[in-house]
Amino acid sequence: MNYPLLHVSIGFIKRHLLQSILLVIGITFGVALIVSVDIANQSASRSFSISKEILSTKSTHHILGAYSDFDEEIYNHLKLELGIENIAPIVEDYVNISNLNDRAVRLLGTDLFADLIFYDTQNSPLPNLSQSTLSELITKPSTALISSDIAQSAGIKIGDVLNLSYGSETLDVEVIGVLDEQDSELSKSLGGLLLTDISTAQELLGKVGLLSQIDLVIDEETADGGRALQSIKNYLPSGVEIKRKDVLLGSAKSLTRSFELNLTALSLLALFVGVFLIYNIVSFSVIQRRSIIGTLSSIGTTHRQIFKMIMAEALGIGIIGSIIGVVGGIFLGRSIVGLVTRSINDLYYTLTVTNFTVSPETIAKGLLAGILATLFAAVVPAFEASRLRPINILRRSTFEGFFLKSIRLFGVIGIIVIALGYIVIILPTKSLILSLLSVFLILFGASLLVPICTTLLMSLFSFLLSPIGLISRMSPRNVIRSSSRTAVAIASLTVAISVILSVSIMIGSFRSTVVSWLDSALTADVFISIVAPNISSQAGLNPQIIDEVLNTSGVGRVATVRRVLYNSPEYGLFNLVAVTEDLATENREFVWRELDNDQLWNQMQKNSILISESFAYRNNIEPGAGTAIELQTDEGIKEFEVTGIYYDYGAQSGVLLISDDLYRSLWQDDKITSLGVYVSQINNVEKTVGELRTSLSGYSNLVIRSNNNLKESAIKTFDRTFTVTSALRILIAIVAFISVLSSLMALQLEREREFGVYRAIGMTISQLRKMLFLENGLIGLASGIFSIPLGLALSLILIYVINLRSFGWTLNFSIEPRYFIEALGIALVASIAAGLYPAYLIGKEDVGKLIREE
Amino acid sequence: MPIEHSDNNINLRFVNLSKFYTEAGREIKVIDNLNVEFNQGEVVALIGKSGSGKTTLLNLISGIDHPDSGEIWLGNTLLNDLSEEELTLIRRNRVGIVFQFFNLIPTLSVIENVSLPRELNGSQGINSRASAEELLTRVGLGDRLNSYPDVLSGGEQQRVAIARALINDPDIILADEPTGNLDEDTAKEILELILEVTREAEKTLIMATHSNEVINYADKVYTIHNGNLIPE
Repeated sequence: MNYPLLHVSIGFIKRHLLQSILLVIGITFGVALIVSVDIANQSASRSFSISKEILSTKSTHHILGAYSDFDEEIYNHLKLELGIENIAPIVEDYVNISNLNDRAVRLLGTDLFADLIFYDTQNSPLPNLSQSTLSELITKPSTALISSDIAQSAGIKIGDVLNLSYGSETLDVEVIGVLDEQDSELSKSLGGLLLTDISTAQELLGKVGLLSQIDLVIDEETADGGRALQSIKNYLPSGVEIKRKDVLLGSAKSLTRSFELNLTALSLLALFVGVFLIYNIVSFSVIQRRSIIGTLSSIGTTHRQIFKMIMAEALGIGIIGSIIGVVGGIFLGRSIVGLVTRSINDLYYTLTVTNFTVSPETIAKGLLAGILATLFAAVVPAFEASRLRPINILRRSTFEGFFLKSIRLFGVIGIIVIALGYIVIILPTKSLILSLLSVFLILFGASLLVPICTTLLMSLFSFLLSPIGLISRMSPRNVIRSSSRTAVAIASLTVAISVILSVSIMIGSFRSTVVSWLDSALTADVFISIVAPNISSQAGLNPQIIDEVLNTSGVGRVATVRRVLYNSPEYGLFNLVAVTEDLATENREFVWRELDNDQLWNQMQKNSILISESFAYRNNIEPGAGTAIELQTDEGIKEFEVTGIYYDYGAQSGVLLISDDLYRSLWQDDKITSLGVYVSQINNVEKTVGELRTSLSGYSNLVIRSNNNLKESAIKTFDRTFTVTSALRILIAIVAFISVLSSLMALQLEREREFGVYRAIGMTISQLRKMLFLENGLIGLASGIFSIPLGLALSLILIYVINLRSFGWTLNFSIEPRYFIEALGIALVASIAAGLYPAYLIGKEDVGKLIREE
Repeated sequence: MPIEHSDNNINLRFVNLSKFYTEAGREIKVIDNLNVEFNQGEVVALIGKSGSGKTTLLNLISGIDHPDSGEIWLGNTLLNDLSEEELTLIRRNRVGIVFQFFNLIPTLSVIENVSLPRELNGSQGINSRASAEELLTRVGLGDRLNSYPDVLSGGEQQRVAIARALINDPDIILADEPTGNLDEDTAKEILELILEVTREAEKTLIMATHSNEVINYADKVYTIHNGNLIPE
């Protein structure tokens, strides 16, 4: 851009600073949301990686049992017989610290003299700890080192005793040191950790003679490494496998991918709404200086030069907005990280480390998204500015005329884009990205339909309002006449409200489905479980507790549940749940089942299993007889017949339900994860809970809850999971509000002269404000009305396509009138509130100035 | 609310009226200590160069602008004392304005444009429509009642504006270059029309113009020069 044009641009921006500030705000919000969600996702992901990389950050492979721990002899054999170097044994699980409000920490037991540990840090894994502390840890039983974050937050000092509990087991350990390392990566990896010698961990976790994992460093590229890997594979017994660390991490992280992708999509929606705002302001800035552009054009400025001038301005403002957005996003990200991490803890796995990662990629993504969105939104107004002939540029009505003529074309393109979105939905794929693309196509198509729908709706309003009076008739017509501005305001509000509405319907449907599922799945009167540090904990209760429960006054019968996290090469991570009786019985709802309830349970005693819908969806298991699943058991590989697929919303990773008898006959595991207690007299539930608490007082880490109490707790967790989504909904509404505000401000500036005429011929300020109030109300009402069908369509996609593809769950579509009232209410409040300031300004203007001829 | 019509024959009076503008730190006298009276039914032409203050004077009369000193009396009403709201009601009921660029409301039909000031008073649509139709027939647009401004010629639009100015039976009509945006023949037609209807209704007409032809029709002609009204 040449200097005089640059000067014209800068001069314009300086004189219309408020517009530029609104533009910057729009970009800032959109970018901030993208950056903050990306930071939250990456931080959660990094937290997960760090949690898994404790001490042995350079390990390349892990040896793991398919579903449980394995014999420590395997480690000895690899080290001593096969001569494998750089290898470390690990025993780990999550435990609770009873005297710290059952705080969950990761207990990690390892051999601190193992080659791998020293390999990592050259001299010592923990340079800040003295050799004598390390020696004490190894030689003195029941001692532990605690991470500095726990020590600081709980005020733990060296010499304090921690009461640890794990299932039925309890153990007191003495803190002999604090893991406080200078190295930042090492320090992060030590967060939320309790480090003990391997034998201490084995004792507490009831894993004497067993290991959870072996970490190794093997360079597969070298001949020696290849040979070593092969020899390990040849040696490992059935059910124990060696896997590359990155593959394992990827597999676990893939569980949260859908969760993260959905958040990213919401943040992109915010930017999508922001694009309307940018479009509004840039096109307004073009119209506002049509006389300048006309003059420039008259004196020989080419179309290309005008186009470049507008685009350069947008680029400059886009860069400023994006930079501020990135900074804002980093601050916002700090809040969102906590929410996302908590949701991941609730849904997937425990993140003892809360990491905050801002990667250069995140910053680049935010900047790029902001700048591209700005340029995309600016290209149409810039093109219009460059194509208008000087004679026409001078006339405001020319642009509106052009816009009104184009609305049919917009409508046709809108229908085509929506049809395209629909085709993308019905494609035979499970791709989540394609589903999200369809949402964006439908939103974009609907936005293009807004102008023609607005014209039709406002014509109807004009007809309906005509008996009331002329001013009432004028308002809808004014909305049509300023379509280039009002239609964009309505479109941005429609998109935002429809997203809010669809997410509300989706969450509401999800919630009502979960409530109904909890009612059917939780039939016992009282539930007893251990304080589970997380959903993937393998901790359990000893079976003798059953007798103690049965001997408690008021107890009728007891059913037990054993839940273990199973990692199968064919089916990935899933929950294997063994039950002594089907607690849901007749209430259980099936996608498909081969037999009726009694036969089903009889068959499950023999050789059949039930699988959850999400397990079936993830593994492409179609309903129908003849499906079999092979699993590694302690008795070797066994084949199980699938006799039913049932609805379950407890674990996204999927559930494989097996009878307790069959499970105990094939796996050497006598632990119990929880008990369902049926009281002998139904009105004595709370009393029985009290009796059980007394009779089981010897167990320090039991949670005994009535049916209602457990359901409430489950619903609380559910609601917590959607905190981030709700927060993002609010932010989207804010972006939409700013977008509408900027539209109405622009419109008001454009119509200043018209308002001057009204006042010159005798319209009072209050009458003028009433008219504007009605116009803004109509804009809000139209947005609310349009957002209802669009929101419903989006909610159907969210529920039946995106949710299914993300989590493998079918939800019952459930709507409540309040969603629609809320949608209309938000639309009306946003548009009317956005119109308050422009309406206030009208009273401040000098009529003489307003009607001065151009 | 001072919207009563005056019985006095003096319809408009300026007493020591002054208006200044400040431009680049320098005070420019646009209206300088004017003392003039206009009677009921008079046709007054204000002529002068661009920027001489014609529009400013009309804006002061309509209450769109405010004097820096002196008084403006519309009948028995001192405009200086009125609030913005009261001045708006004066414009609606006692002053009719005809602009150079017509300033019709594009979203309203011809009849709606004319009846708007009446309906702003809360008049029932049917009453105001009847008055508007009568006026539009009078200005020769009885067959264009439901047309919209964008399909009318400049002359037709100005006819609508004249009808609008008369709808609330004002004391005074202010016309700011009413023919300035029209071709010669149409300008003559409009000029004759505006004079005809204002004389018929015995309204005071104050017209700012460049047109020498107006001088032949006006009862009084003033040239504005250096802030003063110089009678011709």
